[in-house]
Amino acid sequence: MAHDTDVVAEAEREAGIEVGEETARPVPLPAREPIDRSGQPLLSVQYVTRQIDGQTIIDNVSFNVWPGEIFGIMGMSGSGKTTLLRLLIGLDRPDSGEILFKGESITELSEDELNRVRKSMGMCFQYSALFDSMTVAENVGFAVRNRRDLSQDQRRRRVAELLDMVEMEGTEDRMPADLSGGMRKRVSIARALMEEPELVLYDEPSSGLDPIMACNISGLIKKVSTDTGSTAIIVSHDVPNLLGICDRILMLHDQKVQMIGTPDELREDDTPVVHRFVHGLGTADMTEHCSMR
Amino acid sequence: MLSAIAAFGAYILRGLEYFGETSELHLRTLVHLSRGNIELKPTIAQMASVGVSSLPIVAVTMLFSGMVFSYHVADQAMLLGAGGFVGWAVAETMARELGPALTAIVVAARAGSAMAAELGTMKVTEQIDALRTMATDPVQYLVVPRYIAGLATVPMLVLVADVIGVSGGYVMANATIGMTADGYFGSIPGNLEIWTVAAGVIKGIFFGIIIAIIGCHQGLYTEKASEEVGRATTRAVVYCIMLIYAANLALTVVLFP
Repeated sequence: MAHDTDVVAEAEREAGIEVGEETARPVPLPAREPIDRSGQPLLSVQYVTRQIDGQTIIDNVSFNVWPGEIFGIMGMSGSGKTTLLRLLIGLDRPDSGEILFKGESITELSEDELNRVRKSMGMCFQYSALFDSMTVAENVGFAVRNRRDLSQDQRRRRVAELLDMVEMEGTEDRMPADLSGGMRKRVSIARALMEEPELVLYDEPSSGLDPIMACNISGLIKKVSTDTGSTAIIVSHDVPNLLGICDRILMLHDQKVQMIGTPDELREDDTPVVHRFVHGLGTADMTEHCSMR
Repeated sequence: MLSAIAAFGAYILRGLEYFGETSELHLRTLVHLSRGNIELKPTIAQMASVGVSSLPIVAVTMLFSGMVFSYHVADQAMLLGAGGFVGWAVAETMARELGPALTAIVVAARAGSAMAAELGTMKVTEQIDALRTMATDPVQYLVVPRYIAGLATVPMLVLVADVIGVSGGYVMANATIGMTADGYFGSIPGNLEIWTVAAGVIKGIFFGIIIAIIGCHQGLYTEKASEEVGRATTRAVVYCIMLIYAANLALTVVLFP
């Protein structure tokens, strides 16, 4: 598949970046197995609508995500991407429609029942949302802090393993305030993986990062998903990185699903809104304006 | 006219909504407590933050309050020939009213505002949502420790405040009318009832609950904008002080019938 090639180089090329030899090399991307879409989807979103203060944020959205898949959700700012992600993990509830996780509807579950389901999920927030009063190790180990089947030593080892996986080894005692944006993202990925989730949700993982770091984080997401076998749903408007790492991508437009397809299908689609978004073009007027500049 | 009625109606509705939200938060906190869902580490940290860290400012406030009160009482008592009761008068007032009320207001200003600011910042930076995604109820992890801290440490601070206030009163009585320690403190044991001191401590328990619930509520219900954290913090202190005074009246009527 085209997106299994060197995504880093591709994203750098699309971002127009010259990378010198002194630049830290990104995470090497592993080869991925083909996704089996014949069985039950891990996550099924069926006709979901969400309104806030009388305004429709998500309108009749449906899609399936299969185990092991890296699924992207893209769309313009305000298209409802983050709201959709919050619905998937039960931080918000739809007004109509249903969300099924491993065949179980989670839309009507109580908070206690949702907590059981959430143990199979992890989430990385747009601005990392690390607990700023805790060290890196305490942040990463937070989810298992009360688990009695794990000894203190086992917890410490697991934290070290995860930090090693996200290339943050040796930062256990540092505070989040001492970390750069990219480092915070890495720690938040390690934290989301602590309970070995089947599904990891990423909200704008490249937001606030320079293009090289954004590319590195995308590579890390793909590596983590491949190494752990977990499913990933990535919400972003960073098109080059999404096209580079996702198996399929959903495009939201005007609160509705505009298209679902592989990166190649999206690249080749000639629907004006998809074409403009994927190829980074504005409206006709704006494109002319940008080219003049 | 209609707009005035509508504004008044909206104000009443907002008040009822606020009452509902704080009652629900209190109820959820009590449910966690009844199930023993207590996180030890944050609870100890909050007890240190609410109790130990508030001690210096409570001590300073009560020392000077005791001195001022004693200055007025000693002067009047000497004129009335009741100089021997100055110590008891100061102790009675400290235990009944000044100790609990002033301590609660100082803790509300210091710890209540800190609760609102800390939880408000966590809300704005999605840390509260992060807790929920890790299957942790924010009420259990954030509110219960602060509730226990308020409940346990404010009464203890009230006792300390009583002692410091009475001691400050002695310093002033000695300086103004030359009262001896025996004369000042000797009037307290026979006149000050244990119940008076206990009632002040009971008031402290209620005030601690008010501070924790109001502070946490303001933090958890902060709108997602950075300037809202400041507003929530201010509201927490204002609401705490108003409710402490209102509760003080109700508790005084009930405890001293």
